[in-house]
Amino acid sequence: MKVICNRGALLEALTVAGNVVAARTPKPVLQCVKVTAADDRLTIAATDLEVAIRYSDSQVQIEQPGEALLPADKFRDIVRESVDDTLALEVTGDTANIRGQDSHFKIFTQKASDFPPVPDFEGDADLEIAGGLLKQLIGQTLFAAARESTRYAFNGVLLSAKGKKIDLVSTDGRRLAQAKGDLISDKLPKEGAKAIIPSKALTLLDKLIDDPEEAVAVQVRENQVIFHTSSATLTSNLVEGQFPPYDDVIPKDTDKKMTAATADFLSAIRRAALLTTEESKGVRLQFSKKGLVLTSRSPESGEATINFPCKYEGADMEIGFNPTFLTDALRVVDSDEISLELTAPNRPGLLKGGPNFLYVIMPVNLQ
Amino acid sequence: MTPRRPIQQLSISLVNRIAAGEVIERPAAVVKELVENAIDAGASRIVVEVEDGGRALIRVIDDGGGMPPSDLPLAFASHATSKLTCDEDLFRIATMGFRGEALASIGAVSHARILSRMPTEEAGYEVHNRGGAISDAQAAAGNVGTTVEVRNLFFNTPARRKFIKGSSTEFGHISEMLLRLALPHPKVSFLLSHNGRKAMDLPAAPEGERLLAAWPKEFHESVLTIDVRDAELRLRGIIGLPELARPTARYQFFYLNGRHIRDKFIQHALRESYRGLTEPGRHPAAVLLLEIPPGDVDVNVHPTKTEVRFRDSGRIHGLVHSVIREKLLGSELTPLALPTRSDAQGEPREDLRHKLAEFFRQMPGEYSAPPTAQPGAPAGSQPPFGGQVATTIDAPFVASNPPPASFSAERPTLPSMPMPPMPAIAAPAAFARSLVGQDAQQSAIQLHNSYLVAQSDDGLVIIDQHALHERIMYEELLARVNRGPLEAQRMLIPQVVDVSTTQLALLEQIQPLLGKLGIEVSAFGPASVAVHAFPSFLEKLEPGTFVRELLERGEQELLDLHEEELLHEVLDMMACKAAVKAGDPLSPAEIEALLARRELVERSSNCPHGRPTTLRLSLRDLEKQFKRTGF
Repeated sequence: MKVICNRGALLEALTVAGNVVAARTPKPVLQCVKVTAADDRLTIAATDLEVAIRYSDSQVQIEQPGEALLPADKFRDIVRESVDDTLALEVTGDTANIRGQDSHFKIFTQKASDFPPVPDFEGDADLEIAGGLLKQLIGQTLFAAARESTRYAFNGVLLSAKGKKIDLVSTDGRRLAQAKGDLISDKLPKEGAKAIIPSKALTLLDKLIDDPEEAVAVQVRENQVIFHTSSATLTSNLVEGQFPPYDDVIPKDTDKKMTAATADFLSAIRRAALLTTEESKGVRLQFSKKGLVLTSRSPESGEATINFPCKYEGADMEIGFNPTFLTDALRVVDSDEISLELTAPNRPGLLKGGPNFLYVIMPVNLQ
Repeated sequence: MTPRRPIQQLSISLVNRIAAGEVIERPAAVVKELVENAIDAGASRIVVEVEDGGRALIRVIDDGGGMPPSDLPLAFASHATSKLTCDEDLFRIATMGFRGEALASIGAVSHARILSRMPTEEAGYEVHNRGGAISDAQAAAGNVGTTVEVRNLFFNTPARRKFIKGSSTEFGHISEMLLRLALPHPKVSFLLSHNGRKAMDLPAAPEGERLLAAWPKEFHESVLTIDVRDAELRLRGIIGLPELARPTARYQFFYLNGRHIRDKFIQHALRESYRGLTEPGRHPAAVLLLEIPPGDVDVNVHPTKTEVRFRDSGRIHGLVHSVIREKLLGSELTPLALPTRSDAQGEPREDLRHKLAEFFRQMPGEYSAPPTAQPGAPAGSQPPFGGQVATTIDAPFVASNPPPASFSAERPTLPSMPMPPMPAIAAPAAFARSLVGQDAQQSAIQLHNSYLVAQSDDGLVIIDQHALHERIMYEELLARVNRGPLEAQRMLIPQVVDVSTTQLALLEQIQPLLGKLGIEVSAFGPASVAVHAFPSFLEKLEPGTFVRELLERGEQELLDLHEEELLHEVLDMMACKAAVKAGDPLSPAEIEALLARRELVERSSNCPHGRPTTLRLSLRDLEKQFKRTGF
């Protein structure tokens, strides 16, 4: 194999692939990337057996096609530190030679056939979605997913698609986020498709999409989901388990409602949160006809009171929330105004930002 | 309206059954009565065999004096005893049993059999009692001594039978009971088996050795013995160093003239003796044997004889308090050696460890640098803290007591401790400088990601980072809980945990307590519970995992704890989970924050589990180690 590469494009490919390469693994081949030169492009593939990625780099000149397995971090570091515009990569036997104008690196390769298969995108897409929208939906839900819950389904985001509509839902058992949008096209069966996608895959996908106008093609298999953009294919195993019947926890009987400007409410919460501690995280929200008063107290440091004028309908009430849970959501709302609907101090609050984003948040029991 | 029924004298069998309710409340009570009889019969070896927690069978075999065949049927009659003959005897009781109720009560609620052979007889005799129907004595083969078999306990009192807990719980009570009986009788060997498996084996031994059986092995190094007598009273036994004090009184055993008692006066006197040496609310470990003239005490207060009334309780209180206090103040109490780490509470799971490490990492921002920081500190070195450390370590009674000279011979010594390469912080230089006394700068360094070593006024201290942090968290939590319930995050989707029926019962009992701690749990179907709220500060923990562990741990605790003790147990657990673990690397800022908070916590030299947080090596110790003494 012999290829002349544009260093910048190659570095980007290796950086993206590097996100998948397992840091610690008993299988050394998983610390490698598979490099394939064929059909005028260089494909970089990496996998940790959960998530796999293929990234194609077309800014290459292939003099001799072939494939090789290179240690991911060494290869990337060499490309990053090099100063040339182009680098020549030549693999002979089990040695890869990377040559710049004044440099020559030899690194040892492993057998390409040992690498687990990294699927390509084949056949028709089940659905297509605008890259920008997909990024937005990910941003509006991923933060609320659990990290290492024993309720495995909570560690992913539920993607449901049906009738040219898509929605993403995530929860960690304390709060729940849902974001909706329209598909460009879908060839799904009538009952639609559902898949719980691991957080890691969505984090990567978010980085892969850089053109908001570009359509992302998606295939949902029994235990895998495949995303395809013009330059990359991302395959991920699905999270096993049953996503909870989340519709049941979205309150439908709210009788109190606050409306406010998103940025102002965010600022008020952030200021009230300044005097909370690890042990008493809660901010007290007192709603009345006059508006909202936010207070917090930390036994060691002091108290905070924020008077926040806003529109409020319903009986006076007092409720406590973990301010982080509120700010998490307010940061990703894409509308200028939000509403917060409530029923009782021990019942969930329902935050809505525009027609396509809703967020259910459980209160804290204040002392 | 129910028609009026005439008053009638109850039948004897009914009377016995009712009386049985008072004395025989659970299988352990049967064991108590039978073993006490065996001890009174002069046995040197007592074997107790139990099946199915005592519900199926309790068999007590002794090699004592036995009974003549003519006495056998009488043994089952109520208020029949060989231990009292006239009214006056009641005021000079020297035997364990005396009320003459036990066997009658047991016989009334079970299928019982007594087989007895006197040493002078060729053969034994046996008699049966089937729920009150007593057979005549018949000849039967048997060894010298008495064997009592009790089968199908409570077969005719279904209400009582229903209250019997699981086999392992009941057996736990039995083994606890037998231990209590065995401690003051070192010359008698005791063997206990459950379902054919040996559970306790106490060979005849000197008294000191037998008393140690009351405590786990790891206590045995930290024991003081006492033996004091005056003309009438004698107090002897073993007491644990303050570090052995626990949130429950499970390691306390009190005996009066050989009989196990519970007594608030003695307990109070004991606690008072440890005042200032242990945390308030902790119960020191002690096995105390008190001997007083039988006439000075009334043991006939309650059928189970565990409560007594002293004629002069003030005198008893004073004796216990002064003897123990004196012993403690005359002893070296600061732990000096590196104790072997007790894994009793189980290794924490790896994922918990990481979450909690993260929790801790968020803490330092909230704590300001210690007030002693000096403006002249060289850049990169850590702010000092040592001066304050030393003052909290040296409790007044320790300072006047130099460590024993045997230190070097018996204990692992500091110079042989493997020293890792120094971390790349400025500490080593400052550390070395301060050791030679040219600079007041003091720092702490972390060794093996587990221990902090720092200079103190008169030497150096070694701090167990987990134990110290746990201690700090425990104190902070306790203070918080006393101010009001912990803040709880409610769950949107409650986590469901599968539980056993015992765990469910336990949960009902501790629900109000959990409420205070911000944990809201409710039954969810017959074999599971749902967690509805969980303390916000334990955000990184899985509520379900925590509750499951709590219930599993609670189920194993056989003693019925008081609410306060329970609170301490749960706080212990929370603090332990939330604290940094051994093996967690700490940044200099984290070390500093941890040590700064050390000052906030009084008596931080013991972690809630009773393990020390801090060990001390004085310059004198070091000089001794390096053979510098005498210059």
